Amino acid sequence: MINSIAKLLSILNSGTDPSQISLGFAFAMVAGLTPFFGVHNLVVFLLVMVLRVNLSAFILGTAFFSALAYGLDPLFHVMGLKLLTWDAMRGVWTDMYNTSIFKVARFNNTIFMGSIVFSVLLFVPFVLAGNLLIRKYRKHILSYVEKTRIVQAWKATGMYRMYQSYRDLRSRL
Amino acid sequence: MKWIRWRGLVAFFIVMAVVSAFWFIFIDGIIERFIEKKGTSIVGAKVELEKADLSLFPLGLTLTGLQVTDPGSPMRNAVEAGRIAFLMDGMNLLLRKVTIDEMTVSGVRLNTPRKSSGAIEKPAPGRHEEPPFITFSIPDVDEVLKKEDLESIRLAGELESRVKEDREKYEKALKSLPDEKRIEAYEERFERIKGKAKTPAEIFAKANDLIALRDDIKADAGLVKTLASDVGKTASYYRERVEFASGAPARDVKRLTEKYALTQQGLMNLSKVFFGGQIYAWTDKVLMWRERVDKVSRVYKAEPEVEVKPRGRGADVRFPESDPVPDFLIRKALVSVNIPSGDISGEVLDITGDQQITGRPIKFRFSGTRLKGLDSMSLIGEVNRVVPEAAKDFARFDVKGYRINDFILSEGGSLPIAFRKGLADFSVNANIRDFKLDAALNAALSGLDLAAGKADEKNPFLRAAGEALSDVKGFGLNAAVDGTVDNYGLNISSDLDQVLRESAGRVVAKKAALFQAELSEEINSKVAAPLSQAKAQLSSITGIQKELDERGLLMDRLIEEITKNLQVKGFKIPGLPF
Repeated sequence: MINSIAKLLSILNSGTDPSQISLGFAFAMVAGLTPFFGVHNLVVFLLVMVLRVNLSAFILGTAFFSALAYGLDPLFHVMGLKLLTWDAMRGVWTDMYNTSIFKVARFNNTIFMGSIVFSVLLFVPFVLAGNLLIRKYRKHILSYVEKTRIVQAWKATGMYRMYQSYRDLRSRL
Repeated sequence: MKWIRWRGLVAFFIVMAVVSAFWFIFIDGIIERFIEKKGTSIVGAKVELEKADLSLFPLGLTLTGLQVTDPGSPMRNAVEAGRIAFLMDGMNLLLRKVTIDEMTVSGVRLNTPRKSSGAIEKPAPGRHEEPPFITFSIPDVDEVLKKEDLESIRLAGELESRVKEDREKYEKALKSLPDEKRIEAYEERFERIKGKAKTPAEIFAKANDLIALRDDIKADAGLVKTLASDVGKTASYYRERVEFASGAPARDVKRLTEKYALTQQGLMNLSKVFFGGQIYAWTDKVLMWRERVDKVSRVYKAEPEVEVKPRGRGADVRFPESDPVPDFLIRKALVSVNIPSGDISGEVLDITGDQQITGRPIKFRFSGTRLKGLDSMSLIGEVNRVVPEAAKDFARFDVKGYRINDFILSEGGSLPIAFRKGLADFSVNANIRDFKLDAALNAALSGLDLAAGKADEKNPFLRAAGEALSDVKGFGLNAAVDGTVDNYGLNISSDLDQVLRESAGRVVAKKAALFQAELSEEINSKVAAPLSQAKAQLSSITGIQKELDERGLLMDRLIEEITKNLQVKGFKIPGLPF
């Protein structure tokens, strides 16, 4: 837990562009909240790898949102069931059901439908809010956080030193 | 800032390649476990697979060493298949539809022993009890009476206490009703009133007194008659019950004789005793497998339907398909079965749980010729769920020229029977429509060398039956199964019944008569006391009824007398009640 917080702080305190971090968390939200083994997540991984998204944020976020998904599954089931049995959408769903790619994606599963709609709807607001919060954090809280014991302790660890060396190496490349 | 990370694309493909390699390494195990898990849940006993081998180009699967435990006998496999191989339609598989054009199933063996139990739950008891096993010896009467609930004793005991209770009740009621003294008092009162009246005022007063007296007597007579009627009905009911209870010993004797001693009637159905258990077991087994097959049947609907999954996995909503394809379909399975007589080959067509979509039933056809010890055999049938609410199944199984060698029909028990040699032809026809089951077995056995009974048998019946059966060279057997799949009956007739009836009938009749006489004496002696008590109590109730009737009669006479003495007959003054 402490390690995770320290990693989060490390990501936030790094010089990485806020958009890359918030995009990493936003993609993690999609990958973590939706059923993990699905075709849609291949697309998410491809985007995460190809776009200059912060991978640490994505990995940390995926772990966090996957744990959160266990608690939210009942909500996603109800949302998905409402959507999939909504008369107004019946024609659309029937057409999609008869299209290979959607069927392979298992869109007709209530948890999948609920979670994908939930995470896609929140995607853009999440990125924008993330950007804003990271900037505010760096401007107002960073100096205070740097002095906290947890950050000091984190900086004293071998893992942090290894991370620093890796960053130096990357900046030289 | 650059937003594209081209090296990431390379990394993505490397990761995908690694994941695919891992998937391909582990997929065989995953398929193996899936088949075992799914099969076990359908069969209700362990389904095991030695190996599954998936090939990608062309897309196909080979299963080796499939064992399906017999749920009714967990130490045996109902079916064992050496090798199952098939190709799959890749596009349909992506849509989660398994479509197999042709499957080859070879090395199939039936009813093979297992090394360990394949039970996952306690085997369900057979739907039918074994037909009563006849011991051919008559038990001791005292022992029979100790363990049997006798209707005669129960009825006589109940009757005695109930009649006694009612008699006491009526005696008490009788005491509270007007008795002879009260009637005498009425008579005296009547005598006093009926003297001569001269003046009109005296005449009216006399008439009023007589009417008041008559009303009093009528009220009392009403009470007496009501009780008399009640007592009469009760007495009549108890008379019927006593008569019924008196017949109970005879009924008990008949029932117990039929149960414990062979009767001529029992002898008529001995073939059911010998063959019934086996036929029930076969029928139950077929019905059990039919039930298991139905577990995979699904009703396709043209409306969206919600298919609930286990907790945490949501629910799949199924929508109508423009070109519906079954979730699982094997168009043709070529099966080769090894039986001790040789190989039987056959095919099963259109195996699917979605017959409504294909519009075709599952059909199977097996046959074998030039087999060892068997001229020919054939099995054809159909499992039809095209209209799910009107299921129709049929099967026809024919065996010709089956050479019997040391077949034991009944090993233990009092009358072991074994066919040393013989020739059998038999055919089975079975139809199930909705829930109605109708099946017939016809068998003809000839050239028999039959061994029956024990060499040192002392029981005269068993000795006679054994000798008679040993001389049998051939017989016919007809069995009919009729009823519903949950509750069916079995009728069996055979030439053997006639043989046994003729040979051992006299021995049975003599023994049964002896048992019956002893039983009758014992039961009658047990029932006599309570029954005679009940009769005595009933006689008291009848006495009460007589007494009440007499009182009622006396009161009626008095009322009649009073009415005659009313001199104002036909005279009516407005406002007066007469």
